[in-house]
Amino acid sequence: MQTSSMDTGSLKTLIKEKMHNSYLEKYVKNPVLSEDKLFMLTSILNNADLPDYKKENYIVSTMLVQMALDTHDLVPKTDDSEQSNTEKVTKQLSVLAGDYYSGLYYLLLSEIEDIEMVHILATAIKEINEYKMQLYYREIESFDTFIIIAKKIETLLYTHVAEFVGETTISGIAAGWLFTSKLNDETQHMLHTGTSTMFSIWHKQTSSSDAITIRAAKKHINKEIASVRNRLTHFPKHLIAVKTHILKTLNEFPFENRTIVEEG
Amino acid sequence: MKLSKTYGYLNKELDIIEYALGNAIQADHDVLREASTQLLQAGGKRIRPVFVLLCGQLGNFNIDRIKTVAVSLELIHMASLVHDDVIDDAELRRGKPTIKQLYGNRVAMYTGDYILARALENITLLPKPTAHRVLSKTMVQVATGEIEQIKDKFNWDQNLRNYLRRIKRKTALLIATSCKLGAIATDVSEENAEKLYRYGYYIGMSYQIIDDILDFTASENELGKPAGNDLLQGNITLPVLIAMKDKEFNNLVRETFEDPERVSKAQMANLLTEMKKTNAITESYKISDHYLKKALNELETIPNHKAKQTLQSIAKYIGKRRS
Repeated sequence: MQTSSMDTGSLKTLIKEKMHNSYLEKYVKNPVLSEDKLFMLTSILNNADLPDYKKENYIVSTMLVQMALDTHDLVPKTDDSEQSNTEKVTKQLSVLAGDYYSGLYYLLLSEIEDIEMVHILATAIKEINEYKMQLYYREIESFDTFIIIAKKIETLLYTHVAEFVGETTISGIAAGWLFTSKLNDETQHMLHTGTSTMFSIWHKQTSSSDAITIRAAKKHINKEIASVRNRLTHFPKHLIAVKTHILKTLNEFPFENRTIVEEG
Repeated sequence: MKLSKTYGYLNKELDIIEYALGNAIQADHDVLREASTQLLQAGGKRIRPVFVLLCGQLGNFNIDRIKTVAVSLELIHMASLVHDDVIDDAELRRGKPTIKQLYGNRVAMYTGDYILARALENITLLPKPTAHRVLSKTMVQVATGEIEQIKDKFNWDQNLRNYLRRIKRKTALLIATSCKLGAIATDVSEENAEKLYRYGYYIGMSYQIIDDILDFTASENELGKPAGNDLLQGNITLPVLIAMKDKEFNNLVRETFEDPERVSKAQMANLLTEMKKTNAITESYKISDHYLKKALNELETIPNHKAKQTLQSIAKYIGKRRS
């Protein structure tokens, strides 16, 4: 998938170059830079009526924000008194790395004098942290509510960007597809290792067994897939490449097929 | 005399800023709102808003613009404090439990990120591209400075240049930026805005050097932490660097910190006694004074104004600070 000037591979390299700090890299294992999110961002911006340098900056700065938020999620919840010096330094640098990436996003957008986009991303960060607090304090009545909040945390950055650049058609699909992908990864992880970062939050407040959670997650994956497929039927022609890619990945998700077989 | 007396006539404007700060952190989530408000109510000198206000008065003063800048700079400072307490595993700040202590690391991280996001949302109300370039560059440098500080811990071979670069990023840049943004917000000429930036930079350098001196000379009561605590944490500051020019002191420091986890109170007390036998404290004050003179020089050609006199008074006050 290409933007008008760059492919996702080059963008990934560019983001990594921006984030590069040899001392940080020695201690902090950066979170994975999501290919799905990068793809979705390039898709959102590909057809936006913007000059190439802006598209590139929007993509890089949004991904820097994502990396900043993800890096801060690596900070341990509690400090262990038996913590080794290296663990202590890793924690300290995880805090600073996130702050550093946040500063970089603002710097990049300031250099191109795009203050509106600074505002859009800042608002998304603000809202994401509000939702993270809800999850942290387990203010979740049901698995459905849990899924709604988790989806917001996972996709708000991208829906805000899509709406800002006027790509409202893609906004809902972006959220649905990105979250399906995340849910799929977490469910797979749970099936294979018995653990999942996302579902551990839910498990802490209910007595749900892993099997019940997996079943509920599969149900949501199917629901999201159905919704994305439905939206894709009304997708504009100029986004055909995006549609093809999304359909291809939906067909590769194991749970949808399996459920169809089970139900059939 | 208290520093706040030098700018007592700004109380009305400072109250407006304080009120706006309170409004800026009204999060939807109860704990997020409580944690942010508690941090705000813990007080602080509000030195950044003061510099924004004073430098803003040298132009076409507009309280709304000044408020926007001052609130954002203070929020950025507050966000960094919340995260710093996670970094330092600090239980108390200004005598009160830290957010990290009350709610844990995760909430402290979310609160810091939330406050920073609010700061950035707010600053985008200022339609001045130069201001955003200056502020964003500063934010990156401040984070880099903190990373460098961790890297330089217990590095006895660092030089004066390392130290100066570190305190520039840690303290001086945000004060310099407060001055410059106040000036930009009220259309002070580019030339004078630059002078005010340098004034803030020199003041910040001097202020941090004195802070580093006080870590060795002030009492535990005055500091709220044991004397020499910076050194104990591995932060090598100006007095230590100067004292280490003395071969015997140099050897003593290296021996004492051979295992930083096992430095006793007696060893620290001995180090402090030996340091005071060198010229480190006097020389450090000289360097601080040098920066203060430079700060005052920058103001010389700024047109006469009450705000200019206050900026001069602040510089003199900082020079005399002994606790």
